Order: sequence, then structure tokens, then C-alpha cells
Amino acid sequence: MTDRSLEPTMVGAPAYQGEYQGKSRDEASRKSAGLVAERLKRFSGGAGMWSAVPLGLLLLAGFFGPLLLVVLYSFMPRGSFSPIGWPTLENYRDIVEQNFYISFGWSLAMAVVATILLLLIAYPLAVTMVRLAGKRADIYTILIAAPLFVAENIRLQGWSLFFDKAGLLDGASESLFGAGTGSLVGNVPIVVFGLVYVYLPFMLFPLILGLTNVAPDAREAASDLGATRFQIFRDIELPLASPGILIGTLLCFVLALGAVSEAKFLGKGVVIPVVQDIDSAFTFGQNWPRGSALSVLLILIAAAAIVVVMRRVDIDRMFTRR
Amino acid sequence: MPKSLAGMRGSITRRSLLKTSAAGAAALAMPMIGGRSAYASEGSAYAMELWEKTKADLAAMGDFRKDLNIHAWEGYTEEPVLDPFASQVGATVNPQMLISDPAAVNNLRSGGTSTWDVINLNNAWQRKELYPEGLITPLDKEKFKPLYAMNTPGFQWPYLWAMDQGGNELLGMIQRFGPSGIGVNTDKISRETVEKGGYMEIIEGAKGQYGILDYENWVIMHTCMAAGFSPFRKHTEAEMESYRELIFKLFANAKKVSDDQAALARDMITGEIVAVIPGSVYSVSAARFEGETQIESVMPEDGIEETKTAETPKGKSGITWIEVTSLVKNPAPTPLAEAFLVYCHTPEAAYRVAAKAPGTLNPIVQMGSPDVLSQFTEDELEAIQWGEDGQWLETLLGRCIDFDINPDYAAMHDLYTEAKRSRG
Repeated sequence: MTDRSLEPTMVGAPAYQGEYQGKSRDEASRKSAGLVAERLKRFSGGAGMWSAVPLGLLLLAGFFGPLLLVVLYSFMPRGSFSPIGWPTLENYRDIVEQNFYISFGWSLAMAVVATILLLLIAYPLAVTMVRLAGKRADIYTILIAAPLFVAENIRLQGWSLFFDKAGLLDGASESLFGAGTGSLVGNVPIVVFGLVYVYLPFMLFPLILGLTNVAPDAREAASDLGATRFQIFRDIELPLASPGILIGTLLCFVLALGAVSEAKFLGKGVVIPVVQDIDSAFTFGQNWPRGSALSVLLILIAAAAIVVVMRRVDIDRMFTRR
Repeated sequence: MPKSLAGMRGSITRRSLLKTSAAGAAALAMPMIGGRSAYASEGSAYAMELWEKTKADLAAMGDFRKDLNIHAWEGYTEEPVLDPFASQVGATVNPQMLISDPAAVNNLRSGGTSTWDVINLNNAWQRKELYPEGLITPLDKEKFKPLYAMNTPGFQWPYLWAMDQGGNELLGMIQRFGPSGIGVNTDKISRETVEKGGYMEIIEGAKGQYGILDYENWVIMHTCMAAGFSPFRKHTEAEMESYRELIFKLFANAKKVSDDQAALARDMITGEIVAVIPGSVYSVSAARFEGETQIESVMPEDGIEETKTAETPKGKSGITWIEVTSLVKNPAPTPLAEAFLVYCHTPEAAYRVAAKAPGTLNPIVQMGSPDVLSQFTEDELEAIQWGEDGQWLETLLGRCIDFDINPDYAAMHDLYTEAKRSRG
């Protein structure tokens, strides 16, 4: 076990530790900035940099280009099919004046609930798989990852047919017990179920990655020193696995925030997530500026979540396990 | 008619006589929709000859772009229709199915003209938006006009929605069409009840028991019809208020909202819901083809006031759509685009467009030709609510106004989305 594994970490850490960490981060940032500056200095005169410029620009344009277009469109008047024109705030005003808070609210609420449920379900599963570590873990990994090779819509349609009236569940219970379940689709809990089902691998695999940071020796040492199982979980396992937990949480929250198929296939219109509004604005609504403004707001919400989480994650440490 | 085609007409007449007699009695006793013009067989023979000539011309043409990009509704994007074309002309066909008419129109507006060669949309878009905006190219009128001889009497030359607003240019070929009203499980609510009670029989009478087929512009159009006025003109404040009230009620009272017509048809079959608004032959035909003939598209008898005339004293309550397939004004066009339109008129291809699309069967205007009509099985005709000699379909169509552009669509769509969100 390295010393780093016993460093105070963010989850459950007292305030002075946070301050300590803040200082560490500042120092690390300064060091990193110095390194970057030094490398840039060496790099700037070399042929390597000039060779990398076209690809770098292409990647930048590919990443920021679409975002810039969406932002520009969001300030265009209704009926615009070009991002260049006299800017207006009417799209944002319309969003505030109309009842879009309902779809934003449902998207946020369902994303939060689904992410919490995913954490509760995936964590014990991840612990089991890490501890199994070997052939059986591989089998479980394949079983969990396999559905990803089937289109999400098809899987959700399958669940819809399973839960719907005269579906597999209804038919089977009718046949076995003489009373069917009726339709179990068309409600909010089934939409959340769909989110949990679809995004389980996106929570599970980062958790597994995070939990591999927890050396068995650390648990054993804590146990030898008299720590209870709960204390080991709270003070050793959770802090060390926290980068994986945070990455998984972030991934699932952002993905669930942008989900629409679950509400369509399983919700049957019981609630409208904001992405459905965006889709509607771009297609049937013929209102690209409105769709863009909604997209910008959704991106801002997701970006805020990313900023909050990424301030707490040391990606470098997570992937290099230093 | 160009000289190259003039010689064909003589042989067409001789062939048509033979084909007419071979088509059998089924083709002889047809009224309006099921009926045919005096030149129906002549039209299909012309289509065959034109297709042969087109293939020969392409073979002799030498160098041209061999890939064809089609943006269309599902009738034109599937293998049964595309594979024979591709193999006969040696083309690579890249189809993309539409998700909505407005989305496709926007696609062309935002540069899609460089991508697509053929665009297939419901009527009115070509005539009122695409052609005036320079996004499509007119067809060769002389070449395509004789094909109208295949059509049923209601779709004869010159057909309004295929022509430009000046009536001079032919903007596309017409083929699939259908009436849209209310989808009903007639085992749960009788056809007569819905015909007499109209949309409110479902919206209020079957509160919590019906679904909404969420093709957004169609929901808006049918809500206008249910509110008692045409969607296809400017609306007064009072009408907008009526629309607002009704669309909120429509969504509040619905049990399910889905853009999956098959799922909603299944819900009607299982009794989960009793009806669907809107419900067209398009959306119920697949279920009917599977033997679920209790699922019907029903058109209320009493229509909106402004459509009541001496000829139609009860007015019209539903909406007819007809697809128009056009040549996109692609800066690098391929002759395959026009060839594809010709090919779609050949009797076998026309039948496949009608009956072999995934999840839906639809009538086509070329059913006026015995060579086309004779290919439909009884089950397929039952699926499209053809009825005795086409009478059932004719009755439904008689209660419909034609699809058109809604000038208040933007405001109505805002209210539509508000109503939909308010369910949650």
C-alpha cells in the first residue's frame, strides 16, 4: 500500500482536510502550469507542433463548432435557418414564459433519482465483481456489457412488451395465478426503471475502476487495527473509490438528463422530458432557435454538474493509480 | 409528347386492350376510387414502356452519378421497392426515412439539396414551399402526364397538389394517399357511435381510455377539426382560444401519448385503449392486415361548418393526405432520380410501394389501373378499408378535406407543446 492511499480524501473528510487539499491542489496546479509552460516553450519551435496544428484545429472545430452553432442559433429569431442575423433574447424569454419548467423539472428529478438508485444498486455489484476478480468476474462483465451491443430503443421496446397489458408478465401471471398485472407502463416509476436499466453499465464500470484503487491490504490493516466493517467502508473503501463513484455518478446523471427514449417507450407520454421538447422544436416545430436555446440551457445544467464533480476528482491519480 | 415517345402510343393501345381483358372481372366493376379512367390500362402500359426506354437511355448515357439518395416516407425506403430498381439500373440507392415533413423541409432549406436527389412529402409542401423556394425541380410534363391515365378518377390530370401555383409546372408524381380521422376498436365503441358523436365522443366520452398518435402537426390539424374549423387558414382569436382549450383537454383526457402507431394499434387490440386520435388508414392498416379488422379508421359524419355545401351538406371532418415525390434541385443531379419516379409507376413497383412498406399498407392513386389493382390480395384490400369496389374508402375520402399548410402553425405548436407538458 502506498502512502497516497491513506491520504485524507473528500468524502466524509473534516473541513481542515478540505483546506489542506485545497492547498495541495493549488500547489499541484502551479506545478502543472509550470510544466505545461516549459513543454510549450520547448515544443513551440519544433516541427512537431506545426505538424499537429492542423489536426488540433480540426479537433477544436469539431468539438466547439457545433456548440458554437447551437449558441448562435439560440439568439436568432424564430423562423431562422441560419445562425447569422440580428440577435434576440426572445427564445429564452419564451422558455421562461411558457411551462418549460415542467419538462426541465421532470428531466432533472428523474436523472437525480435514477442516479441515486444506480449508485445503490451498482455499488454492491461492483464490490462483488472486484472481489471475485477472475474468470467469474469476466463472465459477469460480459453479461452486463452485452446488452450495450443491442440498440437502446429495441431493449426498451422489449421491456414495454414485457410490462404492457397482454405482455409477457401480464400473460404469465394470468396463466399461472388467474389474475393478470394489467399494464405497468405509462407511469413515472417505470421510466426511472428504464433509466436505471439502460445506464447500469455506465455506473458499474467506473465504480469497478474506482474500487480497484482499494488495496485489500488497506482493509486488512484497518481491520487489524480494530476498525469495524462500517468504519472500513466509510473511512477506507469509500474515500479511495470516490473518483470512480464521482465519475459514474456524473456520467449517469448527464446521460439520464439527456434521455428521452425511456419516457417515450415506457412512459407513454406520462411526462415529457426536456430533450423531447428539444427534438420537437427542431423537427415538427420548425423552430431551431427555440430548440437551440433549450439545448444551451440543458448544456449549462450538465456543465454545472461536471464542474462541481471534476473539482473533486483527480483523474490522473485514478487512471495511473499512483 | 416528344418524338421519341410518340411511337410508343400506338403499341400501348394494342397492349392495353390485351392487358385489360387479362386483368379480369375484378377491374371492371369499380366506382370512383375503385374505378378507372378509360385509359387506365393504357397508362400502365405506357409506364412499362417508359421504364424500358429509361433503362435503355441510362445504359447508353455513359458517365453519370450512380448513387441515388432518397429522403422519403417508408413506402420508398425499403428493399422490396428499392432492390429491383437498383439491380435493373446498376445504381446504389441510399434511402433515409422521414421523421416528419417539416423536418425534411428544413433539411432541404439548410443545405440538404446537395445531399438528396429525391424528396417525398405530403402534398402542399412542394406547391407552397419547396418550389417557390427553389428547392425542387419540375418534372418533364410531357413524359409524366400520360402516367395519370393509371389514376383513379379523383386524381386525374392536372392534379392540384402536384402542380405549381400557376398550374404550369408538374412538381412531382403522386402515389400513396389516405384519409385520416379517428382510429377505433369497433368492438369497444361502434363505428356508428363515433360517426355520430364525432371527435368529442372520444375526447369526452372515452376520457382516460384513448391514445394520441403523436405526429405533432397531425394532432394539431385534427384538434382544429374537432374544434369546428379548418386548420388551413388564418384563425380568429376566438378560434385560437377554442383550439387552446381543446388541445389541453385532448392531452389531459388521453391515457397514452406515443408516436409509435404499431404500439397504439396493439393497445387498441388488447383493450388498453379504445381509440386513437388521429387515426388514419395508414396507422390501422397493419393491424387490419393481421386479421384485427375491428380496428378501423372512422370519419365522423358531421363535419365543420365551413365545409358544408349543397354537394356535401354534412361537411367534412377528416383530412386526406397524398404524398408527392419530387426531384430535389441538387447542384450535381443524377438521371437516376427521374428514372426512379418512372420506375415507381410500373405496376409491380407501384403495388410494392402500397403494400410492402414496413408497418403500414396504403392505397395508391394508380389503383385505377387494373394492372395495379389486380395485384392486391383480398386481405390487403381489407387492410386499407377498400370495401366493396372501393366504396368504403371512397366514403372516408368524401368526408375529408385535403392536407394543406397551416398559417398559424407556429402559435398552435407552442400551445400543443404546452398542453403536452402539462400532462406531467
